Amino acid sequence: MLNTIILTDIKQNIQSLKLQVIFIIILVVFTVGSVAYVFQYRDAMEDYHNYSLKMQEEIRKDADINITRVAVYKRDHLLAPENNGFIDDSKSQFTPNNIQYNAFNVFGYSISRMTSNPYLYLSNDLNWVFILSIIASFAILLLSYDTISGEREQQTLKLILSNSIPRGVLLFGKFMSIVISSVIMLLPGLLISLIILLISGILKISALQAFEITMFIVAAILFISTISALGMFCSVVSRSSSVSLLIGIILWSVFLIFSPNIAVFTADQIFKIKNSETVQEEVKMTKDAINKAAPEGSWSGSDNPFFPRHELRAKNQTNLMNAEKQIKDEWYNSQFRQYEKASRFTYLSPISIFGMVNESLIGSGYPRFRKNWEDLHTYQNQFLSWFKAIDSKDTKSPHWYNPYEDYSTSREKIRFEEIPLYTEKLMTIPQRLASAFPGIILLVIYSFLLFGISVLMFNRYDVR
Amino acid sequence: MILRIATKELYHNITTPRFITGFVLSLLLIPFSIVISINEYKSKINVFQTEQKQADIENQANVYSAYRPVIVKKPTPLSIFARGVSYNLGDRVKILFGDIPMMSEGKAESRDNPFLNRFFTFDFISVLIIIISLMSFLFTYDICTWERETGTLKIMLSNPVSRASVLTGKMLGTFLTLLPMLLFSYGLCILVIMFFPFIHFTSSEWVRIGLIFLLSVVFLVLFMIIGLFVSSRVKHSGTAIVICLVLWVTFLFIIPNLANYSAKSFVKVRSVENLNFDIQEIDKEFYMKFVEYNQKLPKADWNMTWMVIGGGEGNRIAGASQSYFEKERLMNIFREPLRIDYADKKWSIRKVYITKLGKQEKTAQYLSFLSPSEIFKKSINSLCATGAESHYRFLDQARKYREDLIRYYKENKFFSSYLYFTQQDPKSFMTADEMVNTLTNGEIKTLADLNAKNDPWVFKYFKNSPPDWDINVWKFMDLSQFPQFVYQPAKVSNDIEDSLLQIGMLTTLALILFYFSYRAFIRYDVR
Repeated sequence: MLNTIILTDIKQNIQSLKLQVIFIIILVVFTVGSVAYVFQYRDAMEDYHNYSLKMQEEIRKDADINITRVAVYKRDHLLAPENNGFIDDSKSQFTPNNIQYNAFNVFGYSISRMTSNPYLYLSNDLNWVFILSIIASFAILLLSYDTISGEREQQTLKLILSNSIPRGVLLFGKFMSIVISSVIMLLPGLLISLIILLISGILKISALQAFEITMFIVAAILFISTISALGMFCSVVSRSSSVSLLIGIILWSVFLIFSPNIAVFTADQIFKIKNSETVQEEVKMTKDAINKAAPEGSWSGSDNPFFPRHELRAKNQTNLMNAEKQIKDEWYNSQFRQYEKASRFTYLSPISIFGMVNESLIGSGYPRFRKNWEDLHTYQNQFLSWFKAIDSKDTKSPHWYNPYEDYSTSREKIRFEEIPLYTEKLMTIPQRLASAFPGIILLVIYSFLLFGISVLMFNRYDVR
Repeated sequence: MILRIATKELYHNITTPRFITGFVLSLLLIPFSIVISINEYKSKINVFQTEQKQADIENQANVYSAYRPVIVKKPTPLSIFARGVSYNLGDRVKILFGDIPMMSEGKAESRDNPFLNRFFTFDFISVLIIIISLMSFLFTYDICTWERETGTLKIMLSNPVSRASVLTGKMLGTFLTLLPMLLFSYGLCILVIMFFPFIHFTSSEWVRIGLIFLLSVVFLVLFMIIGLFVSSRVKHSGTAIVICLVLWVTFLFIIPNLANYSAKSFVKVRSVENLNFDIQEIDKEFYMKFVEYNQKLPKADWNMTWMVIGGGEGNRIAGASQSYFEKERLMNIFREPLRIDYADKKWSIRKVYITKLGKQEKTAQYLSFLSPSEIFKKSINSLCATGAESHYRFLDQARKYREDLIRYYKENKFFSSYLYFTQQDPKSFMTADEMVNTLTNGEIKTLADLNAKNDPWVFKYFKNSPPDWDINVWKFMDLSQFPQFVYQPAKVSNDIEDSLLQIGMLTTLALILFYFSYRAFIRYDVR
């Protein structure tokens, strides 16, 4: 009986106008999105490649002058464009993607504009997560809002229930048919997208990409179930299909609009942090105090490395750096905390959860940034020990470590190949799963909860 | 008769759940988006004040070369209504002779935590578009079909009433139902804004708000007509609602993203980081040129400078010998015009870059015009002066101002004056020996004597320095005769002219659709 219900419903859905129209839209968006992604990714990679060559060249030039320059000159580590952006872009163009460091400190982060255009309005990339979370979720609601209330209006619900079938089973059958119809609606688009990406060579058959795609599909099915359950809920909550539709659309709009807005709202109102002007002011005051307390002559220089005042300045510069670091690091940590707390509020919306889960699964966005931030701190310590080890062997160096200048430490040349460079380590699969876990669990809870409530309500539903 | 039908329609609409839905949606979504926009505006204002304060300090000058004014554009409170692109860009431009301003600088993000950019919040106008278009569709999709399905259309048309008046009456009734929703949304928005006394609108801004409201009414009518058009073309309400909602998602959520995303692929833009590498190369070339020239000039008798502030543009020198000052003056006569030439050279690369950006933006815009809601949004953004155009305008004026300033410098021959880099009176310039004598209070007579000490730290012999060798005590110049920058924002009439095309497009679309719906309704099968 269950099979019959599922099959008839799927057939009915597939023949319906709404599914056909949306099917075409989704197909078009998948195709356009993938083709556009291929071009953009290639351009971005080419640009990034040129950029990293230039950066390496700068290090090379410094290495030809002396090792201290290699250690003390500030470098940028710019996060590379991701080859899994077709799944989700995690808005990484708009969030910090550039970390400044040298051997003595990881200074901070900024947003590098790269190839993005500030004259364009903010918009979403047409990637898989966008298609699922906006187009497909809406389509699923359109498919499911009248499953029960629509049948009641057509007077067919009575007939079905006159068979010996429990209401829960009927509802489950309808639920499954919607999930399956949605998957059928999405699958061709997804396949076309995969083919385009394979032909273009962006998609290489690697274990990691296979994992990413599989996990996307798992998350997508979970998400589809949640939205289908939401549709069922709308359908049983009212006796009229038009009211069901209204409730569905309100919930959808609220999920879509409310959740980013509430995150920023709570961040602004509840989890306030210092603004950058205050922090700058604090840094300036602390630095002024240190400079005032510094012994006279700290700022004078000479070409002689052993000029005694260089030691004063090395100490002063180190003090300045540490004082600034302390204030800044505290501020950065408060930003991390604020973001994490505020983003929890978006978990009210399944659409946002789906985005967050995918961000974690493909190891991009905030989790990626955080990993790089931590890794760069580790790297910086190693880089400093490497530098100190070489400097300690140099008899022409007074070993007065100054985090910004090349006067009072080794002035020997170094071969570029010997310099330890920072390379990004991708998030490992366990790390990704751990970070996506809460979202996945929440999606499961949402589906069960919504479906459970729907069953309870349907049991009391007046079929007349 | 039209009025009676309209009243009936109005009563019918008010009693449906969709009417309440509209208000609930506005109530849920508008205050949130407004408060967020207000916060963003507030932090923009804070940034503006900090930058203005800084600019006021920087815009004082004690020598000609130090006058490189910073101009800061005040953020408009209308950005609360429509954010546009104003939050991607800074509002500050520093006028340098060595660079033609390409893009405004300064802190762009209005959020203190850059990670929060992850959340794309919706501004008032986006929320309004969502609510109004949705409600228009929900009230019009069954305007023809519903009465047919219930069988009342036959009865109504059996009366001596023309189909035209039935249609007009129905549309009027629906319009009167939706207008309060629009008014309520605006009222709510203004009410929330009133809670924040730091927001002031000037009278011209009120005019703009009025125009925005009027445009919203046009927009509302347009979406009603689209709904009517769909309704007049299909037999069943079920089909009509599906078509309407699919159109809704396509117009509001698919086309804008599709337009931007494909524009990014069509028009390739290089990264600003790589552009800056090229700029650095040109800067190096400029540097080499003037260093080379410097070596050709006669040497100064002593390379000592008591105090130097700046370097590059805004270089100030005090306490040097006469020959050093003269060399610097000759250097400026050569270097400053060269600097301006090199600015043009850099501009040729930058211009290619920003033209590309502009082209990408235009492509995205034209593609997005497939959606009426984007046309509407675009004209609202120009009314709020938050679109890309108002930034182009600001930068054009800044670039023109830079040229005026350079012309003024050239006309007055500032580059060849001593006052370009020092406030010391040329009559008080000394030779190297005189300087040593003054500095050491006569203890050491000549530079040769000082050099004979062979001490790397000569400053310890210096006991005394004339007061005008301290740059920090130099007086600020009177700059009232200098060209001043005054930002000329677009006049309301200009903005209306700019958005006339869009308004025309919306109205034409509405009229065409209405004509076709009317024809379809005349032939509508009432059975």
